Amino acid sequence: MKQFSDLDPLLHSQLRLAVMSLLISVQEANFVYIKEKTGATAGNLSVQIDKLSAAEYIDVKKHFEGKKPVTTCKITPRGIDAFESYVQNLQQYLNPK
Amino acid sequence: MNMEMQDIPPSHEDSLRLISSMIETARKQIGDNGFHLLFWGWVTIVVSLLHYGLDVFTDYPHPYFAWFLMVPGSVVSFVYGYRRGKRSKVTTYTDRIMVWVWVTVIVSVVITIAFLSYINFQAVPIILLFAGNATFISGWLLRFRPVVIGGIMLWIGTIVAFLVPPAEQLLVEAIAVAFGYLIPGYFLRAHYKKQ
Repeated sequence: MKQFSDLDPLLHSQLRLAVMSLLISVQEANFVYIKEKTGATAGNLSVQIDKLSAAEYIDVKKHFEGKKPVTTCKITPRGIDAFESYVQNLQQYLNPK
Repeated sequence: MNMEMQDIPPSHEDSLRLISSMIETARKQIGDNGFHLLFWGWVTIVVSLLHYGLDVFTDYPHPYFAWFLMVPGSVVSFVYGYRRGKRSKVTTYTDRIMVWVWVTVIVSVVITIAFLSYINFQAVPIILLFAGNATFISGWLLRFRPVVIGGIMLWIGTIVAFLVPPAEQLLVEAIAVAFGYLIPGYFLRAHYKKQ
């Protein structure tokens, strides 16, 4: 298979791409919602969210509701740019001119 | 979708499928459980009929005091909305826009009530008009036809209310709200539960 040298490696991974696609569609979503919709395990999802957060593609906030910790994720302008470039590069690859 | 995904690159087709599937998942979910339509539907019907009953069947000098029930109603509605917002797992752009659409109704109603004497005390048709606008827009935002039709029902109620005497306007209001808020509210609740 041809490798995509120009695709952002941070987004070119199933779960991280799924997380970014969800977050680009909503204002913000919490960890439980993302876990439900992607079907990922908590451990794996947590690792991928940390990677996206470290790259400042998403903004992660943690707070408590009563005694329950809640993690809320929101895509950042940088994340939106990265996602848009990823989709554009993908389109160029699929429809080369 | 089974997606215990590995940290490996997907094929380009898989990437596109994944993106569309996730965007579709986030888009098609309706977060509104119909609470506000049902709550305000019942409150408005009770208040309109109470005002009508006090006006027509009693000598009570201030039948419009029935509308003060809207104050505790607003508190219940606000507290419910605030708590639900805090607990909800996801906030969509639609949710946020809906809040602001209904804020414009509150502001418009308050301004109208403050200047009632300037508009010949035609509060009922004007408020039905504002409610119709917001319900119609909400229906399109939710992509839920019964709520769009609810907005149209409130507009029809506005026209009828302008054409009848003040006391009967209250009956028109109760009927318009039953068709504009309550029926779409029950449809919305059923749809939400089915999701």
